[in-house]
Amino acid sequence: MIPSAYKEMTLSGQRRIISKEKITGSESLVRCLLQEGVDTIFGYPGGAIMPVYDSLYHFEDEINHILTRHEQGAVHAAQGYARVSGKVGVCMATSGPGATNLITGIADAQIDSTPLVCITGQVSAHLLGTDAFQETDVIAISTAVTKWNIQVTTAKDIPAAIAKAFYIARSGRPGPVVVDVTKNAQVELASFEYQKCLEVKSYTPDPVIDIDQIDNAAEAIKNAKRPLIIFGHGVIISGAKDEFQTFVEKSGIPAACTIMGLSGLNTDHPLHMGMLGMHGNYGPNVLTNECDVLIAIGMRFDDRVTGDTKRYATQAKVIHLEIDASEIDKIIKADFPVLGDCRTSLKLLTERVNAGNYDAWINQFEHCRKIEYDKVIAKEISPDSEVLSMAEVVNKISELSNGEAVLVTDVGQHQMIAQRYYNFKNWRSNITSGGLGTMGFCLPAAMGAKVACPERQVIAVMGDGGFQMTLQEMGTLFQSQINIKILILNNEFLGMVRQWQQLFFDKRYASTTMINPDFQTIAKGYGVSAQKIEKRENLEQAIKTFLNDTNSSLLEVMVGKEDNVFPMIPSGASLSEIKLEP
Amino acid sequence: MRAQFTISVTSTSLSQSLNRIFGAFSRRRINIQGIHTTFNELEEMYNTDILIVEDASVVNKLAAHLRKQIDVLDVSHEWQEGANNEEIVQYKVPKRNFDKGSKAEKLVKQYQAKVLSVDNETAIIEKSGVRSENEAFLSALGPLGVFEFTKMRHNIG
Ligand SMILES: Cc1ncc(C[n+]2csc(CCOP(=O)(O)OP(=O)(O)O)c2C)c(N)n1
Repeated sequence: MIPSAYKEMTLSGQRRIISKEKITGSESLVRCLLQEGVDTIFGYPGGAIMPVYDSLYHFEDEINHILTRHEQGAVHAAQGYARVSGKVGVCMATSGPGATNLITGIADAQIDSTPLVCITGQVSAHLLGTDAFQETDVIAISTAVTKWNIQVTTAKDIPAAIAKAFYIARSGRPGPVVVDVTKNAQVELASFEYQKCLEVKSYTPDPVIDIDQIDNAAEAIKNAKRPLIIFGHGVIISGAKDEFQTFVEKSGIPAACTIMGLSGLNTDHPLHMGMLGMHGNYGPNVLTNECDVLIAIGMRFDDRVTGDTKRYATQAKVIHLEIDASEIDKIIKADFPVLGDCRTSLKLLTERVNAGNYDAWINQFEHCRKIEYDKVIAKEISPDSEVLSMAEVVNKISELSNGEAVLVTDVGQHQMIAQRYYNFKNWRSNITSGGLGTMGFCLPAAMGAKVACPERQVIAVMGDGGFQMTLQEMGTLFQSQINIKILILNNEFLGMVRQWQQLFFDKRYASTTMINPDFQTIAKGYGVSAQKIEKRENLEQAIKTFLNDTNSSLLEVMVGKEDNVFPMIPSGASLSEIKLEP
Repeated sequence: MRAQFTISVTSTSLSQSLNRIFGAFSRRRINIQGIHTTFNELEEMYNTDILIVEDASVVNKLAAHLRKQIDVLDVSHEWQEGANNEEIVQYKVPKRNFDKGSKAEKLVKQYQAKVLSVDNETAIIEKSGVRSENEAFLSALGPLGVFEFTKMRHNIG
């Protein structure tokens, strides 16, 4: 609702909000956020952002500010919020250390294309460049890890900057934007006028699709005998749920995903052949090097997916559907590039393809699946040893949550296992730090995801290492009454690094052993109920109690200390050299 | 194959885009050999020419990366060959070696350079030409003492 002091004007179809009276820059900033539909901000106050916090105080009913325990928590929470909802996540911090504490999350959002607007306070304009108290050049620091950034030094410039920030963050290939607002701009008075940004002169977020490119790609698909679809986060970001599934089903082409593409198609869809990458499934990895047409959709050929690029799918014609022109030919040369939003290009492509008969080709995937099952999966989900395995825990969680939860993972062995064994049944359900691999991401991101989708169950899967990087955010769960499920797969090691030390450094476990505190006691101190189990017979009941708790709960499961994640493509090797065992 | 390229970047704001533009070079460890910026007042745009030596494939990827920066309107790159390879070089040299009839003065004539200014201590000499000519001039001039030199691309703007 717009207070009477404000009037709404329509100017050539665009909504413009204009105030009669002058207001402070900080109030203007909050009003801009409301105009952008922001209902939640994750943040942490401090001197240089205090005027904005003071304005937020007057808008408590309209904007829920969630006070995290660290600015890194705020930015990861905003990421979780954005990833699960598709909306722009907003976080806020003060100048200096507040702003620098955001940087890891901003870098994470940049590499995983997550729309964020990060608002930082800054010293007054007249102090800029003087090494004033808590002055850091956040614009310079954040340039390498943002899609765009701007410093605002006068109140009158705030609305246009915020409008542009939201437009840039959410459009095209999304990403993080930093808006750095000097303190004088927050306290000055200026008249308020808000107009949503609909275009930026130097920016083409949604390239027009060239029908010739679609026709060429369709022709290549028509002639294919062994086509393979590989899809990534772009499918999810573009909202192409139906378009993608229809394309897969109409064409009958087997599909495999990157980690970031997980939950873009239900895991148990008959044409879903599994996950690609260093610890992905055997079939899609080796058969990438046997397909004749590789249809890459909304993915960027990360080195964890390609292995040695010189030996990557050299036999295949490559079709690449991609919204970001700089990704085309960046790593793998596309024979048939299709520039544009894949939601639109998939629709056009689907109109032009017919069902092929790929039974023999699909049988090859089934054959590989069986090999992987016998050599890896069966042993992991039903181990002979007394000690629990990560896979059997995740498998059980998947079963008892019916594959319907939002699964948020940290970084390490547990991450790979969780992604391998959770049976995703819902779209937008996999939240992980893919490109940056940021330990400490999980707990705050899960928090943000739950705030965005309170009706969904959110399960956070962490290692004992990563949990301790941001565990203070249990304080936020407690204060803001956010109900998430915290699963710690405790191997008393920095497991993934230890695995590499075992395999590539002759078992020299340099600084990877963890002597941990009592996680249950810590959780209880934060008002989070906690259980710890070591035995298989307690697993199912413990998981049921854990999942059914009406408040946040923690389950620590002691798992095999020196278990390894397989399959594995050694760094720099070809996909065909994937190993099923050490 | 490595060759000399000029990357021309048109941007809407220099202060906002400079860091981003140069970041794209530095993260690829591309050494910038020369930079020249002009401001087009009518269109309120900046044009920055950046001279590098690189592989064409790297240059294509770099240009694509630059093109997607929000404040960047346009990026073009041209391979510097022949006439396009012209550059202007200015040398700061000790005045005492450049007296009338000196070897240095003969070199200036021989290489069709010119003396721009002279003060008590130093003289500024300018020479334009293709890279190889400038390099030959520098080799000849070097033994007589060169304090510093700056290079610009010819016909910029
Ligand atoms: C912030 C950060 N620091 C270091 C790393 C390097 N790293 C990757 S995985 C890993 C071990 C993670 O250990 P843990 O959280 O216990 O999970 P596990 O691998 O045992 O499942 C480390 C240290 C990282 N990814 N992120």
